[in-house]
Amino acid sequence: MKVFPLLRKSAPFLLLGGMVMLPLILEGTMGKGSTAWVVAIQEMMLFAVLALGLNITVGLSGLLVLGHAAFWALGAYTYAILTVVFGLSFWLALPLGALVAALAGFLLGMPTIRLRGDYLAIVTLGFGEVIRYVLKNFQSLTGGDQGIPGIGFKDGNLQWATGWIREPAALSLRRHFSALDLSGDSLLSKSEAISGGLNPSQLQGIFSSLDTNQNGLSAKELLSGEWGFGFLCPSQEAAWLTLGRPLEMFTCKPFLHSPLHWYLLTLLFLSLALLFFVRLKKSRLGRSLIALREDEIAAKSMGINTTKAKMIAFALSAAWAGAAGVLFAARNNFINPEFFKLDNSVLFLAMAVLGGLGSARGTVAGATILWLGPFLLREQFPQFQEYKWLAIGLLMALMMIIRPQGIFGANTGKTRVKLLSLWQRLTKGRISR
Amino acid sequence: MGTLSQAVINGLTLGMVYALIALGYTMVYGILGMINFAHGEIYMIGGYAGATFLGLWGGGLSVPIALGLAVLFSILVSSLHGAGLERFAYRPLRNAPALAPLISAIGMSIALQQYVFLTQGTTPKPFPQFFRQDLVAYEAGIKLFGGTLSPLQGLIIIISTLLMIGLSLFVRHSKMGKAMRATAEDRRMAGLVGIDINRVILTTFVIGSALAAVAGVMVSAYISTIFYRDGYLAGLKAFTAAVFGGIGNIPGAMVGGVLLGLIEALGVWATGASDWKDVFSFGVLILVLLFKPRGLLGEVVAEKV
Repeated sequence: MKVFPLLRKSAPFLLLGGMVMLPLILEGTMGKGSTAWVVAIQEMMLFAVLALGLNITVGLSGLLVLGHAAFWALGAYTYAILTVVFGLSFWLALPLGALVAALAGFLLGMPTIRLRGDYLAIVTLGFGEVIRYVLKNFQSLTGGDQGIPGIGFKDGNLQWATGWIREPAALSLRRHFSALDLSGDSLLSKSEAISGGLNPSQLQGIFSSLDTNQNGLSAKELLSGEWGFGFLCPSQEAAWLTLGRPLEMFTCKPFLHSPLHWYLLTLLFLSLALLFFVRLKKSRLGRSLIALREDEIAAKSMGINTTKAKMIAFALSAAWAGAAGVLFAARNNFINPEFFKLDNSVLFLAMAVLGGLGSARGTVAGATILWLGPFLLREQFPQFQEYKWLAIGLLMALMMIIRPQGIFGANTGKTRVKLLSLWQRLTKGRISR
Repeated sequence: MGTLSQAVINGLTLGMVYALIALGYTMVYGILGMINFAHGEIYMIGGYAGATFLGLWGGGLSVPIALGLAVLFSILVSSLHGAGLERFAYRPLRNAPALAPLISAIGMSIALQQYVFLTQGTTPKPFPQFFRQDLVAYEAGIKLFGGTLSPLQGLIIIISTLLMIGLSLFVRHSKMGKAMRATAEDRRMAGLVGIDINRVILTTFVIGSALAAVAGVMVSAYISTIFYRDGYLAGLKAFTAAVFGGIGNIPGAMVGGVLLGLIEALGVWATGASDWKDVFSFGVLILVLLFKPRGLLGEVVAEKV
């Protein structure tokens, strides 16, 4: 039976394809209610990136970090300040945010990482608190408790990166508004838009300036800048129909700033993080990290520079958190110190612990359970929200006692054996091993 | 506030409390080699227990008796929580890799916090004013070099000092204290010579929790409220104090706590930035780890292979 290895090899790609299509499928089946799901899954994926970053230190190297949200905050504030003050583009801020967080991680790690592991836990815990105090009290730069509103997603000079999608958008625009001169500055008025088949209520949402601005919007404006390539389909087409025309998926809606845009961007981000994590785990550095997690003295005697390895792991983990912070600030449009509380550091840790320390799949599973689980339960039982943190705390302690390696336990392989034998039982009717 | 001597008095009061909480950290660390992250929560639960006791049953009693009983009640409640924590969250993980008990401790810290939050509500619980008004009256205080030592501050300093002396005597001279020191030295060897390790560890948790409970009641009387989030910051600072003095070292925790309280109060006094108070103690932690990672009184111990 050769299906299993083939399935295993192609599984990541199938999964990625499925994840790309998921918003459409959700919209096809749930209609308007799907937006909440797309947003929730997007958040889940962002948290999975953060938990994956944390897993580099906690899972691979066995260093307990309790201030992961602080690095997240550094990335978020880096982007927010740079883009609001200097108008820096998102794509440039992404590596910058990662760099700032990594630098902070490096400086913080220097005095503590040589010491026993638990010191790092408490120092990062304190660091998380201090960062929050600084963000609260350094009002001239961070806006204090009010935070920074209106951050947005500045595409900057790198609009070419998404330019390929604007061509079909222009075609679609021409189809609906044949009278409109796309190259010129001719204006699209409200009545024109409606006669072109745009739905007035949607119109309100997207072209909010149409009402106050009697002149309407120019086609140029529609196709660039703030609007990106966003405008509507002539009517509310079911997503099933757009499946046949994938590009319209981007052009049928105000794409930039839409949940779908963030969903796809975060999916890309998570895929890269997963790839990075899996490759790191197999690399020389990753293997030395695992070695020092298992036995530091033995690792040292095998010639591993443990301090250096730990520092790199710590900085890498902080860098991913910083990059996730940039994405979060751009998506959320608003940040304040409350987002970066200890609670979230613990949540990321719980995600990593629940799924399996050192396991990429496990982390995603942990993020799914701990983010979408409460999301589902909140709809069914509104009072669950209050018990969420109690449940998470108890779950962490229980997990350590019952199954310390997490759901997708590293190294044991028992779960896979069970699945394998189940598969064989189903296909052959007997267990071959 | 204002004068230097007032800053010293406030700092000393705070430092004594840090020292009491730090003792719980340092004793557990000395014996188990783990950070009990939930210790701050035990302190917070102690504060709640004291305030609750006074609110429910303090009515008919005279103030000193009511306060005394409240302290005893909170010691009982906190010790039960501490013992339960050890029994159910840490004992199953005693021989697990170092990360497991730490994560379990973090989980229990969050769980305890939430359980207090769910049962006690979102608003800070006030410490009954009737029982503290005479103690915090500054007119009744003693004037010292331009500062005022309120009766409650004096009480905190005296009670903490007595408890610390008591603990030192207990650890040095009692049979259980001897067993605790032996267990800290070498757990397996202590077991081999007939010491009931489980009982020793349980006792350590109970004593640590009791000290934290006393601190909890005193602080909630001092600052007039107790809140479910209070334990976390107090715990963080107490841990800093323990590291400052040399973790695992009982006199070290006392010295570290007092010094940390003084540094914090004097830092605020010197810079006038009370918002940054918590940043000072964290700065101390980083500096200590940078220059004297074993703490002030800690000794250099070679790592065993």
